[in-house]
Amino acid sequence: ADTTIRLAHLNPEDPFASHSGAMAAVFKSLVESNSNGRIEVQLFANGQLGKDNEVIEQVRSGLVETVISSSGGMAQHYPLVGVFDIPFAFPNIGVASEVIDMDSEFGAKFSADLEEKTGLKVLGLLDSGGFFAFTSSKGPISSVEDMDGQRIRTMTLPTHEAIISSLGGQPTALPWAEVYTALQTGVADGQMNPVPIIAFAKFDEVQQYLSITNHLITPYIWTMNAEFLESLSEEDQYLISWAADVATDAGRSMSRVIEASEKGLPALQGKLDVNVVTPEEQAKFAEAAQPAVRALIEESYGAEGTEMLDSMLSSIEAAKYTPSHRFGRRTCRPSQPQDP
Amino acid sequence: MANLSAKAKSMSLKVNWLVERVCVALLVVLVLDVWLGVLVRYVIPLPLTFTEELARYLMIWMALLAVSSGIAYREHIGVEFVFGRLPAPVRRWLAVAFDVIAFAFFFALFWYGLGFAAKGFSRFTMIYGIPKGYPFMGVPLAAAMACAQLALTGIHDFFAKEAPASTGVSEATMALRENN
Amino acid sequence: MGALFVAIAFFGLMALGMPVGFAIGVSGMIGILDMGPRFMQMAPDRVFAGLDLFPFLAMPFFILAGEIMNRSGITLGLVRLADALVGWMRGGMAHSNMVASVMFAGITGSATADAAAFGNTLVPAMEKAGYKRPYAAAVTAAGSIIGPTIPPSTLAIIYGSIMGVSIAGLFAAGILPGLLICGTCMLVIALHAKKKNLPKGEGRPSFGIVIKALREGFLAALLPLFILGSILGGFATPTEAAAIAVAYALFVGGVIYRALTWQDLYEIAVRTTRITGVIFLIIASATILGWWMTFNRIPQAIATGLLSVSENPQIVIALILLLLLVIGLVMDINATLIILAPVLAPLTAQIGMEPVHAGIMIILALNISLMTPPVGACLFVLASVTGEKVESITKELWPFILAEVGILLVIAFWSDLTLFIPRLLGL
Ligand code: NA
Ligand code: NA
Repeated sequence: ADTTIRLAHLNPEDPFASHSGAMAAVFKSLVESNSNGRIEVQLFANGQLGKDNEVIEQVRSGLVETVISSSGGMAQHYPLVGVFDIPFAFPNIGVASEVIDMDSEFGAKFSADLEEKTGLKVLGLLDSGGFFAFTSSKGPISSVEDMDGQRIRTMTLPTHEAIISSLGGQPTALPWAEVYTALQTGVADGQMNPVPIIAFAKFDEVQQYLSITNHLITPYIWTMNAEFLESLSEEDQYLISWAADVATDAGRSMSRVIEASEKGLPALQGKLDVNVVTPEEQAKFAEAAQPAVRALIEESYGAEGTEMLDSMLSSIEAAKYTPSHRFGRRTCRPSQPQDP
Repeated sequence: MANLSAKAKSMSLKVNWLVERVCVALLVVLVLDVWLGVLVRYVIPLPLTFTEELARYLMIWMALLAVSSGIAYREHIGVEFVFGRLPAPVRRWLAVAFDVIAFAFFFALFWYGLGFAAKGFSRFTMIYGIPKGYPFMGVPLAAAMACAQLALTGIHDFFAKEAPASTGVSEATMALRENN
Repeated sequence: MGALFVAIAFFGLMALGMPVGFAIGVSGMIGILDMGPRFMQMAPDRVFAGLDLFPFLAMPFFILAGEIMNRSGITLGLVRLADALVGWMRGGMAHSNMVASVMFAGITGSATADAAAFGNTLVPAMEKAGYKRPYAAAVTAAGSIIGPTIPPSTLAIIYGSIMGVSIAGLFAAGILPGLLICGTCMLVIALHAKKKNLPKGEGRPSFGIVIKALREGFLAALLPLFILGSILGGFATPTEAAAIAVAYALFVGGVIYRALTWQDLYEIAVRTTRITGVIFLIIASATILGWWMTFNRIPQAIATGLLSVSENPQIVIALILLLLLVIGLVMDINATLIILAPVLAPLTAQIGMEPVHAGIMIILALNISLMTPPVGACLFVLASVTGEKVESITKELWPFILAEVGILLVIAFWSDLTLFIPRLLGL
C-alpha cells in the first residue's frame, strides 16, 4: 500500500460489540477495497495507543491519522463539546439521531467550529451509544425525590456533577478503573452511562436497579488530521469522505442494534430491575437540573458557549416539530412527530 | 582530580537538597488531597471532585522529580551480574558511558518535553479548565534535574579515585540505610 | 532494522548493568527516533501518560505506611506477635508471610502494592527474626502475585470488560489459583526449611507469652482489618484504602506510641518519594517502549508467528503461555493484556476453552511475569525497598517461579479445577 491510515478508537475490535468497532471495520473494508489496495487501514482498538484525549493529540500532531473519540476525550481539546451536557435536551433518540449528525444545521456549525479551533477535520458525528441511564444498588430512580442522598459516580466533569447535585444526589468522582469495585463495595451507590456501556462494563453484576431517565446523550466525534487528508489525491479524499459517512451510519445503527439485543437492554432486563421515568417526572427532572447546568455552561464557555448551546437547542426544537419524512434518508426517526 | 570529583558530589547533594524538599512537600499535599477526597464523600459532603485528578498530577510531579534524587544517591536498580565482575578500569568507563547515554535520554525528554508542555497549554484539565500545560511541565522540569544530576555524577565517576563498584545502590547509601 | 537496534540496546544495556529504567527508556526512544524525529514528542507524552493512573497511588501510599510502621515500632509488635504464633515452626515467619499475602489479596488488586507494603514491613521483620534478606525478599515477591489473582483484581476487570467476560466469574475463578499459589509456595518453604536451615524459635511459647505478644501487636494486627473494613464497608476504593493505611499508621505510631519525630517523618517521606521515583521511572520508560511496540504492531506479529506453529489445542495453550511469559518479560502487563487479549481470546475459543478459564489462565501468566527477571515490576519494587540486588533475590526466587509456573500449567490444562468455584456460585 502507498498510504497507511491508522485508525484508533476506544472500544473492542469486534464490529458487533461497539459502534466504533463497526465504524472501523466498515471504513477499513470500503477504503481498502475501493482504493484497490493503494490505501491500507490499520486498526488500533481498545485505546491501545493511549487514552482518548492523548490519541487526539497524536492525530493533531500527525503521528496517527484518525481517531474516533468520546466527548470526554474531545473536551480537553475542544471544551465547547460541553454544550451536550445540558440534561434532558433531547426528547428521544430519533431527534438525537437527526441533530447529532454532520448534516444537521447544528452539526455543520459544530463541526466547522471544532475544525477551526483544533485544526482537525471532522469525518463523522454520532451519539455515543444511546441515552444515559442511572443504575443503583440503593433504589430505583423514578422521581427527583429518589435521587436524594444517593452517591452517584460521575466523570470528573463539573456539568455532570451539577446534574447530580441539582437533583439532590451526591456526585462521586471516581476513575473509570475503580468504578466496578466501588459499586460492589458501596463507595458509590450508583452511576450513569449509556445502556451498552453498562452492559459492557458488567455493572449488572454489582447493581440492582436500572432507571431509564434519558437525561443525557453525548456525541462521539470522528476526526482526521487535516494536513494528511489534504495531502491525498482528490479522488482518495472523496473516497475517505463517503466511506466515513457510510461507516458513521453503520456505527449509529450498530448502537441501536446493541441496545436492542442481548448486549443491551434485553440482557440487563433479566438482571436488573428496570423502570422507565414517565414524561411528567422527566419534566420535573429537567426543571430541577437544567438551570444549574445552563448557568455552568454560560459561566465556563462565555458568549460562544451560550450561542452554541442555543444553536443546539433550536436545532432540537426544529427537529421535534418538523421531522423529515423523506424516505430513504439514512437516519432512523420515529414515524410520528412527538410533542416535547 | 579527585578534588573535582568531590566537588561534583557535593554540588549534586546541594541540588538534591532542594529537590528533596519539593518532593516531600508534594507528597504531603498528595496525602492530604486523597484524604480530602474520602472525607468529602462521607464526613463533609461537598461536591469537590477535583481531588482525583489533582492526586494524579501531584503523584507524577513527585515521582518524576524524585528520579533525579535517585540518580544523586545511585538508587536506580540495575542487573549487575556482569558489571560487578568487570575489572575496575572497564567499570569506570562503562559507568561514565551509562551516565552519558542516560544524559542523552533525559536531554531528549527535556527538549521534546518543552514542546509537549507548550502544546499542553491548548488542552484543558477538568479542574476548573486549567491548561494541561501546567501538569505537563513536570516532565521537562524533572528531565532537566535528571540531566543536572547525571552530569555531576558523570564528573564524579570520571575523576573519582576508585572506579564505581556498582551502577545502582552505593555502599555509602547502604550504610546509611543500615543505620535506620 | 529499527527493531534490531531496540533489541540490542534493550538487552545489551541491561546486561551490562545500566539501571533498568534508563535502559528501557533508551531502547524505546531509539525505536521512536528510528520512526522519524517528528515522533520524538511521544517520549515525554508517554512518560506522563504512563503514570497518569489513579490506582498507581496505592504503591507510594503503602510504602509510606510501611515506613511509618517501621520507624514507630508498629512492625516490631507485628514481628513479636508472628514470632509468638508461628516462630516455633522452622520457617514459620516465611509461611506467615505467604498467609499474609492471601489476606492482603482481599484488599489490593495490584501486585506492586503488595510487594511495596510487605517489602517494607515483613522483609525487615523476617530479617530481625534471622532470615537472610534475599530469601525474605524472594518469599515476598512470590507471594505478591497472589494479590492480583485473588479478587479484587485490576487485570480481571480490564480483561472482563474488553473481552466481554463476566468479571464476577473471573473474580470467583481467581480464588482457587490464588490459594494454590499460596499452598505451593508454602510447600517450597517447607522443603527449604531444613535444607536452608531457616530460623526457628525455642519451642512452643507459653500461653502467657502469646497473650503478651497479642497485646503488644494488637494495634499492628488491626491495620489489615481496618483497611479491609474501609473497603468492604464501602468507605474507600482499594487505592484510597492505601491512604487510609497511612492515616492509621500515623495515628498509631505518632499519637498512641508517640514514637515519631518530625525528623523521622521527613526521612520517611524522602525515602518514599525516592523509591517511588525509581519504580515509576521504570513504568514510564516501559510505556515509551510499549507505545513503539504497539504502533509497529510487534506483539501481534510475534503472536501470529508463534501461534501459526500448530493447531493442536495442547500445543496452542503451551504457546500462549510461552508468549505471555516472554512478552511479559519486557512490557507492562496492563498494556500486554489490552493488546494481546483480543488476539489470544479468539484462539482459546477456537480450541474450546471456556472464556472464564482462558481469562484466568492469561491473567495468571501475566502475573507470574511480574516477578520474572530481567523486567519484573515486583522484583524491582522489592529490590528498591529492601536495597537488595536483583540478582541475589532472583537466586532465591527461582524455585518459587518454577512452582508457580507449575500451578499455571495445572490451571491451564485442568479446566474443571479453575471452574469449580464459579460453577459452585452459579456464575
Ligand atoms: Na486482590
Ligand atoms: Na517479567
